[in-house]
Amino acid sequence: MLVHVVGGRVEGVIPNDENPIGVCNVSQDYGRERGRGAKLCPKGNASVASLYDPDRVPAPLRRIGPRGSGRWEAISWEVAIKEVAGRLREIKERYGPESLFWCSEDASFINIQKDFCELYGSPNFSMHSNICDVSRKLGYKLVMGHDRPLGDLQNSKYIMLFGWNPLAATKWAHLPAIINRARELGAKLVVIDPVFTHTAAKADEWVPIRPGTDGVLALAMAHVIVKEGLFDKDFARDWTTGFEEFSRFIKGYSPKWAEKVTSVPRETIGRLAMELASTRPFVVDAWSGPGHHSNATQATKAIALLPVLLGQIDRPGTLLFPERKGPKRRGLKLERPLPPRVDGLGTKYPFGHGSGIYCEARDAMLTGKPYQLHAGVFVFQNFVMAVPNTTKNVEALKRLDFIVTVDTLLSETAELADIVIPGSHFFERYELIANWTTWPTLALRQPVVGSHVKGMPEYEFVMALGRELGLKDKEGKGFEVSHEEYMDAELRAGIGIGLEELKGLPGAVWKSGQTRYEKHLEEVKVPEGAIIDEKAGIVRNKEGKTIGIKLGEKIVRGFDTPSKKIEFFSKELKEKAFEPLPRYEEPEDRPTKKYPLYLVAWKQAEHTHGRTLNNAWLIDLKPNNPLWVNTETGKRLGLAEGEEVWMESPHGKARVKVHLTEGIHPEVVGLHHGYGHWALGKLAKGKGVNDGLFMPGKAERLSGEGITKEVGVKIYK
Amino acid sequence: MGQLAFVVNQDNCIGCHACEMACKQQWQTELNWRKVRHFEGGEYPKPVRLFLSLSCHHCQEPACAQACPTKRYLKRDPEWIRRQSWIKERDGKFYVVITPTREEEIPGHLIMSDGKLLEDGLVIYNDVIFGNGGRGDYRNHRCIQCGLCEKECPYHVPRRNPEPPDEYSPRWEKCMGCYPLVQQGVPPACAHTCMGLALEMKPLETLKGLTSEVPGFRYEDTKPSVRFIPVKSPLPTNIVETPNL
Repeated sequence: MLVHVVGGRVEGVIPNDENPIGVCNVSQDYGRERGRGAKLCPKGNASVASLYDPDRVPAPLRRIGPRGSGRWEAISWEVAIKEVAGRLREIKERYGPESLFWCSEDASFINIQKDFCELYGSPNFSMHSNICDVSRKLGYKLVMGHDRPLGDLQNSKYIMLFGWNPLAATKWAHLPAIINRARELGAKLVVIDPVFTHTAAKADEWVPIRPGTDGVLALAMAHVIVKEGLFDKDFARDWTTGFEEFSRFIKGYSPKWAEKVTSVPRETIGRLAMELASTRPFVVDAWSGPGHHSNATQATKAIALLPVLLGQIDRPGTLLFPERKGPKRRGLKLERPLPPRVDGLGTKYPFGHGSGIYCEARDAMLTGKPYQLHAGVFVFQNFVMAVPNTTKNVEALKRLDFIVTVDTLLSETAELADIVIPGSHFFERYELIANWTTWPTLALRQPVVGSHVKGMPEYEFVMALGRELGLKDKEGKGFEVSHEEYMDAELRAGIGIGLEELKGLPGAVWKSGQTRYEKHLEEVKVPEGAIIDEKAGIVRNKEGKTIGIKLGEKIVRGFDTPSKKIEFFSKELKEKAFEPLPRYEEPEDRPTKKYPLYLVAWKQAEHTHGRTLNNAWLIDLKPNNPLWVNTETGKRLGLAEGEEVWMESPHGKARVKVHLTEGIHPEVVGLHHGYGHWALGKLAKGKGVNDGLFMPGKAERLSGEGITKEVGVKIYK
Repeated sequence: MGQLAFVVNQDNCIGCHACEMACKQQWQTELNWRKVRHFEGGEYPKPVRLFLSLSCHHCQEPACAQACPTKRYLKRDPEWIRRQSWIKERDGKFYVVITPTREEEIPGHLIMSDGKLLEDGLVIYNDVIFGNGGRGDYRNHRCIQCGLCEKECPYHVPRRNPEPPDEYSPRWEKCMGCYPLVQQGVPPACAHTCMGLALEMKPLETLKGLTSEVPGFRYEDTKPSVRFIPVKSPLPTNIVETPNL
């Protein structure tokens, strides 16, 4: 966005037409649509209210009362740096460097934080993704070899979304525009979701489903498509592996059986399958609905295989495999290898995501296994509220000897901290945003106003901390460079231009090339010394890395899976003793007799997770998150609109306000995530209910993603 | 060009409130001049949810302007201006006759461009001065806080700001159609930001085929300049307005 600054004060913002993230996700459309202007979400428009939030952390703070007492004293930056460095040095000497747990949101100065952790000697750098979308990432990665496919929604004729709410969870401001453009051109929108979300409200068809059963619905549709012989036979033959096994496996998933599991009528399942099979091009996609369950990865795999069956991938109007470029992290030569991680990533979770496993790290704080953590640094992460099972989170953090939080507000996590570092607002700092578009684009965010506190943005703080601790690698690389120099080097290594050149580009956005399709068919140059595995057709370079696959006489790129093909059957999973086919497993924490209703949560456009709840303008739009209860269910339980009742799960209970609605599955209750703060700020405090309180707090067994939508609850007066 | 009107595409509106926030940050207002309303109806498993984004409708016969005893409101429409007995034209300048002995000149840039009266039909204040290239910093001096504008407007669009930041800020406020932007060919802030492609400002005469009534909005005698593209699917009869839930 472009920011209007008058006399050092932000007076307003307008969308940046140079940044495709507010326009669309395909380069060919961008040329045409940018003239109609980029868009901004409500949070972007309201961001000035967060900038001037009177509750912002005013200075580095030292806690002077017991944890949670809210008693602080301001300290200077010099003292803050010396004190944090001193405690971290002490903890490292006493317990080893691995006793530091570090977690961060995922878009801001990640590489500096990774460098810090590695040079300090801790393997435990973690970030937000593992409570966001890593099951989706893993599901797609295992099937298609790409962990971030994006729907070319604008050019699609049929859009089927499993548990994705892009018209309200507007992760990118272009989402509503590209979906509405498709709708205007006559595309059919089908939304499969237990909740009549704002996206479902715009759909041609809402298919309410039992939470955690999306995979079954996808498999039953695949059953129909295979049984009726409607699949793309050439594509299945040339570009997939394991189709035979899959065809046998899928026989068990009849629409009749699926109806019992999902509650979706068999006729609907059959009809939706036929609609998919007879429409080109289409997008089927899934996000956090199926993604936040205990069976998420396999469910995502099942859904990902629907477009594969019909050959609808990486072509215009289908699910595309974006090409992405961004800042490249410098390499460090560490004095000694890092010890194993505390959260089981790479061991218990061989397929886990690089962002770590918050739930496991939290449990390790409580159990001391595999080892005890002693220090925690939380950068723009309100760990207490964001990770499922709030009660456990608070207990776990209390076990740490030393906690530092970096944030704009005194969050529930900051309340437990020893030192709080004032975080910057995004108008006050640099950031490099590698966009979620289908061709490489990178946007620079740069400070337009000075920091609200005299001092430094958080990246300067972390670098200063590194210098204070004398952190360096074998070649003497540490934090001697300035932040601008660090960014400049990352940029040059990643996209070939430096910081000043990026600043000089129109709108400070770098865009390269075009969206390309069917990249698996592109011929690859075979380097000298390459080895062709004639049986599998796979071509490897001298180092043994797969670089392509034989297609007739040509060597082409293929997909980035081990077989270079789309994988119905995953040998990788089998080798590590996981289920190779997208088999449905019942969700671990389904409702029970005692807790008979499913509880789910969702996002809406008014808020970014739980972080914007103290924004005066945004909280005013919606000061509460009532519990949606189906009217019939409410009648059965004797509930009245607006009434306050108890909601209880095996893990927590709270008073909730009831909203009776026709827009939710009768077996499900749900609410807008992010509310229920007891800290954060005067406006956020005491408003609504935190869904994390009710959750068991487990991690998905394959991806390690925090399971944030799977528990049974009961409601009573 | 003539009268401008908001076109609200209810089929595209996703109820995100970006329009409301864009307006608020553009003019740094306490009140939300634009509001998105929510409606629900139908029956499981075929419920309906509607959103309706509304601000001032810049009526062709603005009741606020008629009601205001200090004549703060003005419609940028030559025909309308000449019809008002309380507006006097002298030597190419226009004056508001507040009392028989008190006249005030209307700041020329509010209603004139290149010596011609503007005719976009936007209903604006004539006692407000915008600074900073049309952003913020508005001043007013005639509002006597009687509230008649709000009372007489059939949509009760002008609203009282209970905590104006300073003595010069408007006490009763409403959308001005972002006229300083619109005059430069830029869309109003709400339409500019609209993620759902659901809001536009267009000449009223080009909107002949569109409906002027949807659930929650009646076409009143003041002739509001707002038209709707309703949702495609037929609506159930049990539509009710709800809070933002």
